[in-house]
Amino acid sequence: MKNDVLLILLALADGPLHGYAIMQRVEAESNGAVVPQAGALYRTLRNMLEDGLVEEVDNPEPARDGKVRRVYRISRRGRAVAQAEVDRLAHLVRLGRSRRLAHARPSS
Amino acid sequence: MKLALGLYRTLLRLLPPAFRDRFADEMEESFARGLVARSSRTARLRYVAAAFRDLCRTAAGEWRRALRPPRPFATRALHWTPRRSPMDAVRRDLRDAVRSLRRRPAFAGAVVVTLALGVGANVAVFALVDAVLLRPLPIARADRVVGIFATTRDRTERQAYDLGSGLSYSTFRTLERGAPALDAVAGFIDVEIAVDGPGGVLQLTAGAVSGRYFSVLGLQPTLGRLIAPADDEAREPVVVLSEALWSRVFERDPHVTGKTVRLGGTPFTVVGVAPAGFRGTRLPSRPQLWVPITTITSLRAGGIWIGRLGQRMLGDHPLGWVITIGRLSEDVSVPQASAALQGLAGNITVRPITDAATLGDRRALVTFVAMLAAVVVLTLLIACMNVANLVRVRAVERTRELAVRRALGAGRLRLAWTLFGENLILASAGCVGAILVGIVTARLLTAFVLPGGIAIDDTMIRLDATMIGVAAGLAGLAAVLIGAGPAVRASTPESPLLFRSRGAGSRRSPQRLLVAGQVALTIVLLVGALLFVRSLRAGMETDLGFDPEPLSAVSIDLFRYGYTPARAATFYDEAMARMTAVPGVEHVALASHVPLATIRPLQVDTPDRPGVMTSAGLVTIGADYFRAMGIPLMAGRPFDASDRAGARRTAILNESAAAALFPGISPIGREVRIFGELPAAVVGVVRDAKVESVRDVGVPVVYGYWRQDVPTGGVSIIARSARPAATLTSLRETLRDLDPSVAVYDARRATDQVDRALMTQRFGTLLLGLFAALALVVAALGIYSIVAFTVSQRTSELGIRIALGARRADILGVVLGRSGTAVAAGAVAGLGLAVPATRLLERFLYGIEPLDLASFGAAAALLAAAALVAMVMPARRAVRTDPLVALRDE
Repeated sequence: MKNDVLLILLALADGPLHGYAIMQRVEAESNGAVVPQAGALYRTLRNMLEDGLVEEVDNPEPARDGKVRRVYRISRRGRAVAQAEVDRLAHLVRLGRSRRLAHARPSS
Repeated sequence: MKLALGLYRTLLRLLPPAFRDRFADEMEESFARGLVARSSRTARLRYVAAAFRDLCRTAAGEWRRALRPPRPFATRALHWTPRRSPMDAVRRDLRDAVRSLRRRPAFAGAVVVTLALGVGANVAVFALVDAVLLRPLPIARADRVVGIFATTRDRTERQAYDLGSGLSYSTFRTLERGAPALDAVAGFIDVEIAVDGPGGVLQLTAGAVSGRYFSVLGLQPTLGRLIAPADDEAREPVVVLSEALWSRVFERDPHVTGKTVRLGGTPFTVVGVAPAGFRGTRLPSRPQLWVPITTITSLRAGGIWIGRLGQRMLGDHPLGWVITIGRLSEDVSVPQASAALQGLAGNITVRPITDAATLGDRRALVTFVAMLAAVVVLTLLIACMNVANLVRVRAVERTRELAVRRALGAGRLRLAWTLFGENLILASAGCVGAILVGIVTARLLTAFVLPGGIAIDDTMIRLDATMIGVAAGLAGLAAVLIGAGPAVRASTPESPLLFRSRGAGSRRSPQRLLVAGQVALTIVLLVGALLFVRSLRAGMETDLGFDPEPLSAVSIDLFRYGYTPARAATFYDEAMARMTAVPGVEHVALASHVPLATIRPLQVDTPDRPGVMTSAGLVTIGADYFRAMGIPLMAGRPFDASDRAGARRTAILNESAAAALFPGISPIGREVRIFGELPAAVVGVVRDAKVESVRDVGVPVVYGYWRQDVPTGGVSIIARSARPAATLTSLRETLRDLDPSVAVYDARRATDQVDRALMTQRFGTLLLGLFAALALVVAALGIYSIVAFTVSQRTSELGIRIALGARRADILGVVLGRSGTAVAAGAVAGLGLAVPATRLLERFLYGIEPLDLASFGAAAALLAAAALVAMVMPARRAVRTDPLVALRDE
């Protein structure tokens, strides 16, 4: 799975967000390593919509300018895909750690 | 920031429609929020660059996706035969073209840059033409809206559509109640007022409009409602904000309606926001808010007449101050409406609103913009000629390659396309560059003011889809013009002959024709530029009738801050006393108008010849005014202590007013009247000084004394001193000390004012100078390239000649002969062309004739010098040709 798809799924795991919020969140959660651009983000989102990983819903509370802004929500399928991917990565991380390939142990 | 956002919005159109419809709004918002979040300029620049790269990539990717034919798996295996598709060959050719251009970056760069500059300048100027002349007002069915003016005697074109040609209030109301040929009638006046904003007092232009104003224009509110007839009758203090003001001051607050704004001290309730882009119906003024016309007396708007007339303005007073507009009934033409309205209320003229919007001297505006357009089109032509030259040279270079390809069986069309494809790519790149150049140029244009006082601002010039279309069209046209010749030639049957050795085949070169054309057009531009330079100098050296060097001035308008005339008088007295005490200051005076600023002429007559009106500027001044300005007194006396308030009114005339009002007799001791009122005895005559522009000749002015008639509007305080810059600072400080709440505006030295008055000359000089310099460089390059080309093509011939003992002069003759003839012929043609072309400039030139020999001579000399420089280098190479090397090549 592509990194940005996973980052978007992770960003949406807590609840629906609109496009700009997704961009901010992805940038923050990747520690600034991924700085998404609007075009790339919406292309990915469109592909994810087509693949059924996310869904589009109208934001119940209208914005300040009175326009209804669309927000994106992770779908059931998206959640399942993300879980599978996280499990896969977790397995790889465990494997890597056991072979002393990690820099440090997690603090918790 | 606004620029980046606009550009982003424009570029969003590049996306395929399906993707755009779905995501463009969200992308724009994301971009805007990201932009705002970046605080430093560098971060913003980096962000914008990244965003544009992303946008281009997205557009390319999405188009690829959108154009990909839907092909189910099985069909593809059976029917998809990419190798034979004609489109595939085209694509391959384009790829080849890109590759071959990459190998010649200098050639590609030169062509792209030339096209970008040439087309870009045209795009920007077209945007300006579009904004000023083609669709100056963003209103519904603008062709059905007309301006209705009173036609009076003695009205020069300059004053048309000015204060005096409005209708009187009662006439306007009569028409509003029902007029033949018109569906609806509305009136307005633009006034300057003080608005209490969040960050202090703002000086804004307000439109005082009648109830039907917005419905006549067919406008819909962005928010809330617009001013309606009910507001007008109820004299309701309501205000409609412009979209720009709403954004700037109220941060697009959706709950702005119902809030209170203080205009000239009176609270007004915000009821709505006008549509985006609407900036009133007169280009020179730009209202930021609109109020009912019946509230005009509570705005504390300046001007001699509002303060004096008060409520009488809204009664039967004959002063024509209401600018009236109307919407034509169905199937009624402008002349029909004009005829139908005759006799209803004096002489009435009806003009389409789009004409009327550009103020009186529309011809000056049109001519100026036409000149601009001519200059950029000329530049584009020169650029195209240069590119054509480059492309031709390149085609000749490729003759062998093409001949080989043809011999191997390439079709004629195919060969033509190979050459043409390259030009297409160059044109596309040039088009993109042109859009960028256009944006930058449009930005630069905003620093200027057009004739008629129309400031070019960034809301006027929009680079939208039309502009991009114009750029693409021009670049495409250029590509066709440039590339057609070589492409056709390459595909003609005689091509195999090109296998013959180099040196042949360039006898009847159209290159020389191109160079001659370039030279001719360059000369035209050079002559124009030089005329403007000389005119500017003449303007700067002209006798203004006053001495600007030691003068500095600031303006204030106390009446917008609720001052009464008595309090204002105390303020002025104190201000002038304090300024006189400043060391180095010689004279201080107040004036309601300073020279070289616009003035509204009033109607003046005398009891001896009642009703014979003369249009004259009325200037209220302090006693020291003439001494401060350096205007000599020709007869009588200046104002003095005897002209106190309550005593008999006195006036001083300039020589032109004296001559117009009292032909053949001495005016001293006689009486003048303004609008048939305000009689005043003439006590003195002064020499004429320039009033509104350096071109003024014989404009009548009547001076009044401020103590007898405290001006109820803005005044300037003028100080004469040895160090005007320092004095300007003390002027500002003195006024601020007296009342910190009053905004001091327009602080300037009189020399700045002179500069401003020469704006048209300055604009013309800069513009023509810039383009002429560009053209000169391009023409020099063209001359260089043709001589260098000749030398390289004829190396062997030159070698033989030198081997046979030809002298230097002979060699130079061979090399330079034809090119020199071409340049000389071009120069002569250019000088000939310049004679009619400079007629266009006549209106903007001051102090010189368009047929100015010095300018023509200097243009020819400049060009000759540039041509000489361009020829020397390749000619030297020719003279030093080594016969052995040259012949070995054969």
